[in-house]
Amino acid sequence: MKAVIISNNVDIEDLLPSAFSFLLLDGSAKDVLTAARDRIHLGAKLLAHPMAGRLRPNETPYMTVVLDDSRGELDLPSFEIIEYCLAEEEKYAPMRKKYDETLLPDLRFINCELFQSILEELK
Amino acid sequence: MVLELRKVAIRNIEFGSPARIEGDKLIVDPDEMKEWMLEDSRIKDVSFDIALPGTSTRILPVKDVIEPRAKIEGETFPGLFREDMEEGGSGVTYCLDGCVVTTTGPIVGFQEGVIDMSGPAAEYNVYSKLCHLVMILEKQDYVDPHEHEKVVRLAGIKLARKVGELAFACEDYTTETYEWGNIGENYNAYPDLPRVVYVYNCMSQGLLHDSYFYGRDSKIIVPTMLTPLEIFDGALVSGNCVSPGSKTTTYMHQNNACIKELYKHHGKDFNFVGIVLCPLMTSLKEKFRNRMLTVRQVKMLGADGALISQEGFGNPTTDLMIVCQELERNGIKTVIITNEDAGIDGMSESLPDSVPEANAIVTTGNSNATLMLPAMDKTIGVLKDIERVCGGTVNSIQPDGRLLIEIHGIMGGHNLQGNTLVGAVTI
Repeated sequence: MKAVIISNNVDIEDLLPSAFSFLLLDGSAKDVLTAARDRIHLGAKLLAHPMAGRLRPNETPYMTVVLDDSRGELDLPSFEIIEYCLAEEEKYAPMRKKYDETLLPDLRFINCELFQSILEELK
Repeated sequence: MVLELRKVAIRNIEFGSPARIEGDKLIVDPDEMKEWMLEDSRIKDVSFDIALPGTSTRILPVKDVIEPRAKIEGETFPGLFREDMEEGGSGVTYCLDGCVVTTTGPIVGFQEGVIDMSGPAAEYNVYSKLCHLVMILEKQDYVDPHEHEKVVRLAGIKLARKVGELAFACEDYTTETYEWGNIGENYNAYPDLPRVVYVYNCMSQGLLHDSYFYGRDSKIIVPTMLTPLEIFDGALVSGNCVSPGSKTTTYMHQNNACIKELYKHHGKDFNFVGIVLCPLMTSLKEKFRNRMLTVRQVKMLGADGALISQEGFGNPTTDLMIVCQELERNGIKTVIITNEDAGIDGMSESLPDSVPEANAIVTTGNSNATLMLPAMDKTIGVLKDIERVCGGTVNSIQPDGRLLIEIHGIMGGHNLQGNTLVGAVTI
């Protein structure tokens, strides 16, 4: 397995286990999903559902995707899920919330918490 | 196994001393309740308020809603307060019907919702028809968010149990009796009727996205068979603040609308033979493991049909769909309950995952639709928090004091066990 984490949440970096490589994107949740989608088209597999705990895409700007980036045959479940997630992002674009800046640390914190749940499950 | 629910109707709450029930009025003593709560040294301070149906009152942000229930022999909410525990679901349980303990106060940002006691939001959820004893907790500074969630969760349950004990002195109650046999008895009970199993999804994803089964975090259990009776006794409690509209509070577990409906049709239209609790987790491996174990147990129960209720939306929709798909592939006709996120105008693709086998879906409505709520005379909590909760925005508060909110910001606005006040009917 070649585990890769793609995220736009800078706090994730402090939680990384040594076996995972990390790609920090200075961009939107959609940018993170698109980067993951591109890898899935080349055969990478999702290890966790990207919408884990994010709930509605207009509620938080943070997105963390956990992939197995060993390339191979197209993984159909990963392909379907990532396309659904991208469609959800696009659907919510017109409803995007204006974020209360003081909320951002909490949103990063929740994103980290849910990422840690994924790490626990993958152990 | 037989459980008798003794329901004492409560239609009013007042502060006073000593705590007691007079007719349909619950009288509680704030000083006594404060003493109970401060037994937990992690709580710095606590205050109480009352919200009654029909009044111009708004509660936000709401963490949990719990119906007071207590037992003279045995205990309700087993597994939460003692090291030893007995199986819930037998004997006599006293319930304060029409009354709830409601916990409030932000833990980490967003995801807690609104309860209005009158106006348009009150037309959506069952909470607006209940008398609320509201508890506002302040934690000690050193308590971190994990501990904070636990403190508030346990404090709410503890208060609900203590207040429930007041019903022991009441002689005026109505009785509901529920029976549950072993697998063989249930299977053979109605040989001519189709056998139906209920798949009970519960959120299990991390801080503020967890449920607790006999006090254990549901993230660390595999799908498990349940009896409906232990659910009535509080074996499953909420630890989460997912989108308020689709969140299953402890009250919704205690009064699970699917279980009640299944009992109603049991022996007439079908034979209700079992429940499988299915935790909704994050990694794909866990989703597929849980699918396999859930479907296997449904098959072992001999089901011809299944009902799946949902909690949350998005990621959990994948669990809902893959379990439904596998049940159908095994010849088990399956009905699922979910809400829809179809955009403000209702025109967008409404589900974040779907399978062709999901051909019988009950929807609890479009949660993106917006409502304009009137200003209320009284707010318990902090009105400005609406800008931070799920379903609200920084533009929610209008200059004239009204609130613009999405339906999923209303607690229980589209409850995914179908326990709401709105629905479509065939005429």
